[in-house]
Amino acid sequence: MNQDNLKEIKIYFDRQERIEWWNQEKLFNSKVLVIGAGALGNEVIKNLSLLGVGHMFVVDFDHIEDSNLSRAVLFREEDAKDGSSKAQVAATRAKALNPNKQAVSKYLHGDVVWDLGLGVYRHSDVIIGCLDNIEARLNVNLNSWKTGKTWIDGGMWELAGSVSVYEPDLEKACYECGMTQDHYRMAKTRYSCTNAVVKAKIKQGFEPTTQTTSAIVGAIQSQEAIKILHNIPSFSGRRLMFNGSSHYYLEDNNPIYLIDLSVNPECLCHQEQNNEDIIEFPEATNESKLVDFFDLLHEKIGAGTINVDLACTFVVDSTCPYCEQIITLNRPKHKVRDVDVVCPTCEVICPTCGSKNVGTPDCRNCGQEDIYEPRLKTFHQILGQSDLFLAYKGYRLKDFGVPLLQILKINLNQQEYFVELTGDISRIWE
Amino acid sequence: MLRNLTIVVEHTGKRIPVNEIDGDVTATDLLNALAGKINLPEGTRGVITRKRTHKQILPTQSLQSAGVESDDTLIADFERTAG
Repeated sequence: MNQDNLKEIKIYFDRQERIEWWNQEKLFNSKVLVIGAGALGNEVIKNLSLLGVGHMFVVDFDHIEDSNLSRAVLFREEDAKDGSSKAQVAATRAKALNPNKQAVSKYLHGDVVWDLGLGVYRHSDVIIGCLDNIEARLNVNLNSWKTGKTWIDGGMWELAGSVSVYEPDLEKACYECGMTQDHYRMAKTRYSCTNAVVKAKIKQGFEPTTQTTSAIVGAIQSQEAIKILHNIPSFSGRRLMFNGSSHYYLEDNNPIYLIDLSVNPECLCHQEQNNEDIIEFPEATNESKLVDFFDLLHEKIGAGTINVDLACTFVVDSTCPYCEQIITLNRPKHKVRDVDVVCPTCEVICPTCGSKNVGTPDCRNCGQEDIYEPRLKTFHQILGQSDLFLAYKGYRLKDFGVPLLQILKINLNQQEYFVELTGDISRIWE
Repeated sequence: MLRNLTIVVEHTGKRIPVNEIDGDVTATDLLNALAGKINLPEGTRGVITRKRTHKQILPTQSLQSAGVESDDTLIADFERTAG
């Protein structure tokens, strides 16, 4: 942005620039990743846009429904009629709202757990989680930790809300510190217990919330983000609790309070290394073909036998344990549903109620889940010039499930390298 | 052995007296034992905080190792998860 443009735009932000430490230029140049574009996400995106944040990337896999309209300031009736993408509409309206017309606001209509590469986190200045489930929070927590980024988690229930700030610091708690085995089980509810493919029928729970709560929680999240972008201390390692029902906490007549989150010495996330030696490949994207990617690796890293860890599982096929019929799948495991791997002809006896079932992963009579256990042929690594490589060399990296701007672990001659698909960056921040 | 604890259920304001409890009991054990009285929303992560310090007691941490003393007040709450 040139100085004339900057001067012109800064007029819009006169009031906030009167805050002594405020640096509007810094906000213009900031990159904020907003994950979740529901009620909270709408508030956060609206706030950041009005504050003049220059680069926003919005992620959500959901579509707009009528029930969203009362709580989402960026959505309109026609969006619900069309079933438009939440991420797309939120990103588009954010750009329209931002007084800085050079602001960039892009989106990914996809699943945060599977479709968002580690590099997206790495190139963000701060991450804001507007999520509604434990699995997504665990994933954002881990990726933020691995890339050394702070993330701000918001949540609400009825007239109460909370905001936690997680900084990648061994002395401070992360989201995973508070996990128990029960919580890990709760985080896996969308997957089959037997083979971890995705369940076609998921029990969905909707929690009671209001627009007023999302406005309060989203405002606190946005404000913490602004402080972090200015390098002003936030309440990292702590959780701000807001009780809008009673305005009464601990007999202290205080509706807002902070709790210190405790570090769990056995936390799995805290044991993860923050790898800073990333090799950027501006020529590579997740749309690169496997063969081209290997050529690039040889050219940039060296000759020898290369092994690429895809960091996701690819399913070749599924074999029925009863009739040995093979169902060809050739897609990432997170895109395989339990109904896709069920033999259409073999009879399975439910171990719970004893009824006979055909063509279903769950018992039709008693609802017992995962009564059918096929054998899956899978891989998650590809060795150069192997049969696997030759069979799949024409596949694009995304066909294996490699997400946007991913960082892949490469092994060449017993040495590990971390390679980023930096070519994807233009789809996010530019 | 810890005596005369008070558990305050934050979202309802309900106070549950606990006359005597083993210090080895973890926060999760406490939440499970009082589940019927606390009534946290289904599928949420329960959180126990010691009022005096405003410090969270980890789910697997015992009350004693978290520094809980007799006559303490503990807050039973849950993580808000809707987005």
